[in-house]
Amino acid sequence: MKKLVLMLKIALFLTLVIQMSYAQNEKYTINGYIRDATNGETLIGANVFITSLETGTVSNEYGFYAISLPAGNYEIVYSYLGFESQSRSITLDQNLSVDIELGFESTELTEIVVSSKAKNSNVSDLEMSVNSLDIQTIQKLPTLLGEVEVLRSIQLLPGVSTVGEGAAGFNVRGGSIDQNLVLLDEAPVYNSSHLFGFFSVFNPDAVKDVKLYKGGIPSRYGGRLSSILDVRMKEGNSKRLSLNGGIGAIFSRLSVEAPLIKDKASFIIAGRRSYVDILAKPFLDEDLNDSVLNFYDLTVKTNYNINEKNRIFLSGYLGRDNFGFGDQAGFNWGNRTLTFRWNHLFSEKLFSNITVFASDYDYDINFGDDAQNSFDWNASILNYSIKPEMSFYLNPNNLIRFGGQGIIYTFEPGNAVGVSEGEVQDLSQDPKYAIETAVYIENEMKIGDAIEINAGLRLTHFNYTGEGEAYTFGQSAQGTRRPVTASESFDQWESIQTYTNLEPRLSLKYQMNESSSIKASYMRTAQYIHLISNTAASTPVDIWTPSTNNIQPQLADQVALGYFKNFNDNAFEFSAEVYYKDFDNLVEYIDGADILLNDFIEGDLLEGDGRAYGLEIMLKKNAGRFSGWLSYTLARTERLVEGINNNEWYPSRFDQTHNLSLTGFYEISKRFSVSGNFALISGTPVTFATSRFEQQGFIVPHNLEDSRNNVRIPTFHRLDLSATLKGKDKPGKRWKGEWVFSVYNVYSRRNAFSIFFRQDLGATEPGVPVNTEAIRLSVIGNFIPAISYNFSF
Amino acid sequence: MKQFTYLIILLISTVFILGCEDVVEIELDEFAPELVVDAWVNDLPELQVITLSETANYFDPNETPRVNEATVVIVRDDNQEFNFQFTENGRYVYDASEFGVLGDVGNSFELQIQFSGQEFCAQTELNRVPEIESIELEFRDEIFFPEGIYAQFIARDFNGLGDAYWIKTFKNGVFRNNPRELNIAFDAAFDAGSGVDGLVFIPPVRDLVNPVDEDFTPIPWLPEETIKVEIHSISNDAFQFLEIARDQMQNGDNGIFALPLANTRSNISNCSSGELSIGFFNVASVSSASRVIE
Repeated sequence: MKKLVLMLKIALFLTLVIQMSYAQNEKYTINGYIRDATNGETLIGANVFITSLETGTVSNEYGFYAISLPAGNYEIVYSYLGFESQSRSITLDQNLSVDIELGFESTELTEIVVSSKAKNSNVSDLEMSVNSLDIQTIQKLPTLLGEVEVLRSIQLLPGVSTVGEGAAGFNVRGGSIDQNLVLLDEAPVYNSSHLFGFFSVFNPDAVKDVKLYKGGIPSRYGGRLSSILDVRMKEGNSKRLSLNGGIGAIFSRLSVEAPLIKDKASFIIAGRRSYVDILAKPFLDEDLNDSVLNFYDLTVKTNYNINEKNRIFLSGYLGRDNFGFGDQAGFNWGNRTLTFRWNHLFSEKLFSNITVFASDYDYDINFGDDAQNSFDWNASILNYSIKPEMSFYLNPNNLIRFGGQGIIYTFEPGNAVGVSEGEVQDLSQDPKYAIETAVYIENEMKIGDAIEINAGLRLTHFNYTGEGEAYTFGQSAQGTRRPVTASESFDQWESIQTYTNLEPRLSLKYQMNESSSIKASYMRTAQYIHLISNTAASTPVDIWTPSTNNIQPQLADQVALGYFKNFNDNAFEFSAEVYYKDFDNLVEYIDGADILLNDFIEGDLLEGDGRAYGLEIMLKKNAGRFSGWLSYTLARTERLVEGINNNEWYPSRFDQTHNLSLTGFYEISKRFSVSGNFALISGTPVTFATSRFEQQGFIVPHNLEDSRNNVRIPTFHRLDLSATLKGKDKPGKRWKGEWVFSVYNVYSRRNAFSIFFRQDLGATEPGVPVNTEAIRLSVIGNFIPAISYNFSF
Repeated sequence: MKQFTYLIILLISTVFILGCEDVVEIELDEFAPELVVDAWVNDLPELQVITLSETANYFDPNETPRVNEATVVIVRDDNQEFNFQFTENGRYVYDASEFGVLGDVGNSFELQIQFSGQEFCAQTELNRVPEIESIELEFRDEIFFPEGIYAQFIARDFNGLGDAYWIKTFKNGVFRNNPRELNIAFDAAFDAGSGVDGLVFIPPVRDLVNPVDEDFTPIPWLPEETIKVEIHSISNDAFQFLEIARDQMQNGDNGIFALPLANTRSNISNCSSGELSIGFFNVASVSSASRVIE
C-alpha cells in the first residue's frame, strides 16, 4: 500500500511539472535525425544547442532529437566530437523538421575520439556512472592476439572487474556476471563469450557504440541488478557500398554494407570465423583429424526509412562455438537474437520505438560410439519480448519517457537422454516458464540553469508459471542440502509464484559552473532470472533459472555521488564517484551443490546478502595527438550467507581492492600511431585449505577455519602495446589498409588467475607419502605478439 | 553430473589455454590438530578396521598422526556391541570372520568413540546393494580409450529413489585409491536429483573401474591381471561426503573453472556438544565380482 501511495505522489509531481510547462507561451517543435555524412549512420548523443537560450538536447539511440521552443528566430548548433559542427538559422513559426548530416573535421591529424558526445558532456550530462566507448576508440586499444575486443575494453573502465583473465563476463560494482544486462540492439545476449571467455561475441565491424550503465540507471532499463551494457549495431552505409575486413591470429572478418535505396534503406552483414582448426589440421594425429574446433558469428542488420515519420530496423545475430572429437563427442554453444524495431513519430514531440525481439542461448553436448551407448544433453533459455517506448519532448525542460516491456521465458534446464546398452534413460528436467512484465515512466527535467533531474519509476512483475512441478523443501542443517517434502503439479500458464517490485530511480545534477558539476543518483533494481554458476569462471554449461517459489528475486539498492570537472577547454575530463550498494537474495550454493541436471536444484541453493562500496576516479584526455585515460577504483565487495564462512561477511571472488588502469594513444604521424595500456590490480581472494586428513586411503583437503576466500593471490599487472600503420592515403583511392602490431603482456608476467592446491593423483600404496603442492595458474603465461591486417573499401 | 561436464571442459581448455602452471611456495598457518575418524565398515565376514588419526598441515607429505588411546565400539539396534580392539598405528579392529558379521540390511548402528575425555558418536543404517551380474571385457580403440582391453561391470540399481553406492576397484588385489577413480553413484547415475532409477549403472560409472593416468586417460588392462569390483552401499550422507571429497581432491584439474573450497561434512559429532567431527561412519553391504584378464 505504501508503495502505491508513493507512486501516486510521484505521478502527481510529474503531472504538475507537465501542467506548469503548458502554462507557457505558444511553442513549436523542431526535430529530426543527425547522421554521419560519409555513411549515413545515425549519430547517438550528438549535441543540439540553441545559442540564444543556452539550452539544448542530445540525439537519442536512434539519432533522433526534438526540442520545443517559443516562436522566434534561433541559431542552432549541431555538434559531435570529431565532426565539423554545423549551425542553422531558423525561424520557428511552425513545427519544423531538420535532418542534419555532419562531416568529419578536417584537422591536420584525425584526432582519436575518446568520447563521442558533446564536448563538455562529462559535466553537463545528467548521467553519472555511465561510460561510453565508441568503436573507433575500442579499435585503437592494444589487443590479445590482435582481436579488437568490446568486452575487454570495458574492463579498462572504473568499477569493472573480473574473476581473472580469460573468465567469461565481467563484474560491475560488486555484481556477479549474471547481473549485467548485455543488450545487442535491445535483445539480451545470455552468454557474451566465445572460447569460454577469451573473446566476446561482438564483431567490432558491426558495432557502432557501447555504453555501460553502472549506476543511476534510468527507469527505462531493467531486469538486472548491476549494469546495462548497451551495444548498438551499425545500420549499414546508406551512401555507398563499403567493405571492411581483417585477418588476425584468431579470426578472419568481413563485413559488407551498402544502401538498398540510397539514403533510405541500407544493410550490413558482418561475419567472423576462427581458423585455428584449419591451421591445426595438418598437425593433428589421425584420430584427431576429424576434430572440430571453431567459433564464428554472423551479424546482420537492415533498416528502411519509410518516411519522415516511420523507420524500421531488422537485426539479427548468430554465434556458435563448436568443439568435436570425431563422432564420439561434441560440444557446441551459442546465442541467437532477432530484433525488429519500428521508430514512429506520433507527433513532432512524441517519438516512439517499438521493439520486438527473440533471444536464445543454448548448448549441446553429446557422447557416444554407437546407438547402443550414447549421451545427448542440451539446455537453453529462450525468450520473446515486446517493448514499446515513448519519448515525449514536452519542452526544452522536460523529456518524458514511458513505456513497458513483456517477456515470455522458456527455460530448458537440461534435456538429457542416455542410452546404455540399448536401454534409453531420460534424465531430462522439466522446462520452466515465466512471464516478466514492466511499466515505467521517467521525466528528465531541467530546473533553472543548474539543476537537472531524472525521476522515474519502474514497476515490475514476475510470474513463474506452469506447466510443471513446484517443490517444497524442508529444513536441514545450515549450509546443507534441503530435502524435498512435497510437490505440486501446475497446468500450463497457471501461476506458481508471482513477485512484484517497485523500482524507484532518481538522478540529480547540479551544475556549479560551465566546467564542473555534482551528480547524485539512487536506484533500486530487481532481477528475476539467475545464472546458476558455482565455479570461479562461469562455464558455457551454466544454466539460467527463473525466480521460483523457492528462489526469490535478487534486489539491489545503490546510491552514488559524483564530482565532475573539465579543464583546459574540455581537453581534460575528470570524474570521481563514490557508491554504496546493498544486495538482497543473492544466489549462493551449498558445499557440494549439484547444479546440473538436478530436479531439486533449489534445495542446493542458499540465499545471501551482499554489499559493495567504492571510489571510482577517471581522468581522460580527449583531444590532441596524445589522448587516453586513467582509471582507478578502490572498492570492496562482500557477501553474507548463512552456512558459508561461519555466517560472517567474506569478500566475493572478484573483489579487487585497487584497480588501476592507464590507457594511452599517441598519433606519431598521420599514418602511424601507437597505443598502450597498463593494468595494476589487487589480487582477488581464493580459499586455501589449511589441513589434510586421511580417509580410506585418500588425502582430503580441509579448511579448519571453515572460511571462504581467506587468502589473496598476488597483485596482477600487465602492459600491452600496439602500433598501427596505415597505408598511404591517396586521393581517389578507396582501398584503405592498416597493419596492427600488438604485444599482449609485454614483459611476460605470469599473473595468477588463482592459486590452487593439488595432490599426487594416482593410486598409492598405504604408508607412501602423498605429495601436495600449491600451483599458480596463469591463463596467459607469456607475452603474446600478434599481427593483423584490416582493410576497408 | 559435475564430473562429466568438467571432464569435457577440461579436454577443450587444455587445447587452448595459453597459460601455464607453476609450483609456488605457500606458508600455511598452523592449527591445532583435530580427530579424524575413518570408519567405513561392512557386512562381510572379514577383518573390520576403523582408523583414528589427526589432521595435519596440508603440505606435510607424511602419514598423518595416529590416535592410539581411544576406545571404539559399534552398537547395533538390538544392543549387540562390537568392540574394536586397538592393534597398532591408529587401527582398531573387529574380526567378523571369527566373531560374526556386523549385521544385515535394515540394521542400524551407532559408533561410539571415547578419546581424551570426550565422547564421539555417529549413527547409520545398513542399506541394500545390488549384485554384480558380470564384468565385461572389451577391446576398444577410441579417442578417450587408447587401444587396449577395458572392463565394465554390469549391475542394476534397485527400483526406488535414494540408493547410493561406492564402487571400488582392485587391481591385482590392491585397492585403487586414485582420487580420479573415486567412483560413486546415486541410483545408477551421477548424483541425486537426476530422477534416474532402476537402471543398469550408466556407462561413465561402468567405465570408471578402469584405472586412469595423470591425463584422466584410461589405462588398458593387461593379460593375467585381475580386476575385482565391489559395490558398497552407502548412506546418502556418505554419498555427499565422498562427492565433496572427490571434487576437492580433483579440483586442481578444473583450472579457471575451479569449484570453491568445500569441507566434507561428517556424520560423527561430539556426543555432548553436537559439534561435528571430521571423517565418516558407514556400514556397507557389499557385492563383488572379479575376473582375470584373458
